[in-house]
Amino acid sequence: MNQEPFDSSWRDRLDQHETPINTDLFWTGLEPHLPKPEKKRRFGLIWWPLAFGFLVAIGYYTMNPATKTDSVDALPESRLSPSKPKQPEASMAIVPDQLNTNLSPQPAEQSDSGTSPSESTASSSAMVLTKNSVPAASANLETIPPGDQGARKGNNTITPASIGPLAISPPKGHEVADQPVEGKVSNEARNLNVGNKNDVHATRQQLLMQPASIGRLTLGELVVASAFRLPSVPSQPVIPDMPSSPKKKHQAWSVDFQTGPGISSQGYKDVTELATTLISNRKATESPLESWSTAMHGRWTSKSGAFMQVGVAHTRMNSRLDWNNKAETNRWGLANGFILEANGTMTPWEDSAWIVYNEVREVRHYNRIDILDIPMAVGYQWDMNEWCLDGALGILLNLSQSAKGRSLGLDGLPAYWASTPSLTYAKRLDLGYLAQARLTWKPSGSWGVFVQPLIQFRPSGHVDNDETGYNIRSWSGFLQFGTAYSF
Amino acid sequence: MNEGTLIQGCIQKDRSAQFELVRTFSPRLLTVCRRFVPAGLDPKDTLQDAFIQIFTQLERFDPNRGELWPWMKKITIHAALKKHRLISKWHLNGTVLSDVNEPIAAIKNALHNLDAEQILALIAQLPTGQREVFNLVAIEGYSHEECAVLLGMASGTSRAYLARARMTLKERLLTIQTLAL
Repeated sequence: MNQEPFDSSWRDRLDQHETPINTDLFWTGLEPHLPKPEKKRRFGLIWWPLAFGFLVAIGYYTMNPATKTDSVDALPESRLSPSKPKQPEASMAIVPDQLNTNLSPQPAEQSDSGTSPSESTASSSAMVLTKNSVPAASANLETIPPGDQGARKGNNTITPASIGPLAISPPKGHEVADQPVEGKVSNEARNLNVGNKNDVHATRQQLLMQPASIGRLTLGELVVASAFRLPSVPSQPVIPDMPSSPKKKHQAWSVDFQTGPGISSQGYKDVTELATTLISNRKATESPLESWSTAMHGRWTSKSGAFMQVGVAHTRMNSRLDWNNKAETNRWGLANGFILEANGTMTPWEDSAWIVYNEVREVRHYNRIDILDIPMAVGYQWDMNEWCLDGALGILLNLSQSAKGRSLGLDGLPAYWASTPSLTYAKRLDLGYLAQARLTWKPSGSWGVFVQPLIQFRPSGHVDNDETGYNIRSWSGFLQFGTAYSF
Repeated sequence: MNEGTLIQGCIQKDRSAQFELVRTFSPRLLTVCRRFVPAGLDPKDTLQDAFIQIFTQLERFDPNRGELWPWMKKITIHAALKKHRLISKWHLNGTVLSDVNEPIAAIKNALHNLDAEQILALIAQLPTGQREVFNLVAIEGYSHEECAVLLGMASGTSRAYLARARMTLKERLLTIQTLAL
């Protein structure tokens, strides 16, 4: 019989043959071994935009003048009473026709006012007002620096003159001598709220006298008022030119270019095998070799200093893997045995069979991977005149990855040379993460140069080819240098 | 449910689609397993391994490069070869599986008309190397070079084993005819 018809006769008989099988029973045994449906990893896609929006909202709220609350709360604590009044516990007192503070009153005044010392000093938040007087939140002037404590002069009653000559300079002809603080004084004080450095403390005192938010109750000849909350302040800069205040910023656009060397380390988290002749079930971490990253970004910086940036980045990662592995291989070899014939006799049998060999494989792989990403990050920057420091966190949206590798055998000669032009991430959006810090020097205001440490982490890279799939986790660190231009 | 819908359902790990795939292809794939698995071993174990591989790798199946059935058969063959290698030690200590006589007895009882089951039994009687080469080259249509790469041998060895397999099968067929007479 000719060989080909002989083979085809067997092939034809077996090609469409079906072996009966109890499918339900087989499925019962198979199903527990099948991979379970995976939960979709949407965590990063949801939370990164939320985090970015939160950051932008904070920046907008912080620096937008229309929403900023320039209340007394915003004043430095050192300029106010160290025992900040507890609003709900504000006490009430009734005194005739004089405004007291918590300064120690003179005995004569105590007798004139008819108020006991304990009442007049009971609480820093207590307010004692007379009819037609201006309600004022009391402040503990003990904490004001000695040079500013004009209020302690005279009979310990706050008067415009006692606050200090530099603090409040009333118009000519205005009577300022040792008068209790009344409504007109408060109005004058408000009018004098100008942007002079020397007005700092006086201005705060005047701000404390804002009557707007103080509740008032008339009982006969008396007015009872209680400062249940501190007075609000007009929404204008309190201390425009205070040296310690942050520099006024404006939102800005900028572009930058950066490049620099680094190192990368990648680990094969898992390898899926299809063909029996390929590397299988290998877990290894490659030794880091030199890498290089280049990127361009566009950046929008808000008034608050918060910024977001989007760009495109190319990363080349080189790594080396020394694979020294004891492997179990099967090869053909002679084997002996017996065949039990149908008639019960045992026939000696000798033939080739698979023989198991243990051998050591030593291969050195050099791998080079080119990655194209869209980096997106949010961060915050601090301006310090010509210098600027910023930090950002973000994601790397992978566009493509290509790999090229070379392997050397024990003799140092190339084991093979493989080049795969397009190994792309397999049917899923792969996310990497980045963290960066940047120190920029801007000698001209617009142009600047910077140095930037950058860390990248890709936890779920996946490379596919026809027969294997590699889950790769990689770390990269770079020190980049670049230039930026602000519009 | 057409094949495309079935594949998509299996990729999404839809149990009903997976069961449908198993129900459709398991009888034919079981035949493939029986050809590669030595007699006396349950080919359903190999079939189960093959289906696990199929469902794991199905995302990589490209309909533009071929049909589903050859792809599944290829995976099944690889799974059977891999599983067999794990048990190949059994042959090294001279132990031949004792169930060998059962297919031969079946062949005796069916003298004239060899059906597919008997053919499978005959193939199962071949020594391991001959059986695998015969299955790959004669039945599956692999070239000797492909077979050699897959089995880790020289192509000349593959040719030699195929020749010996053919000779063995012919002898068995003659024996069966003789017994029938």
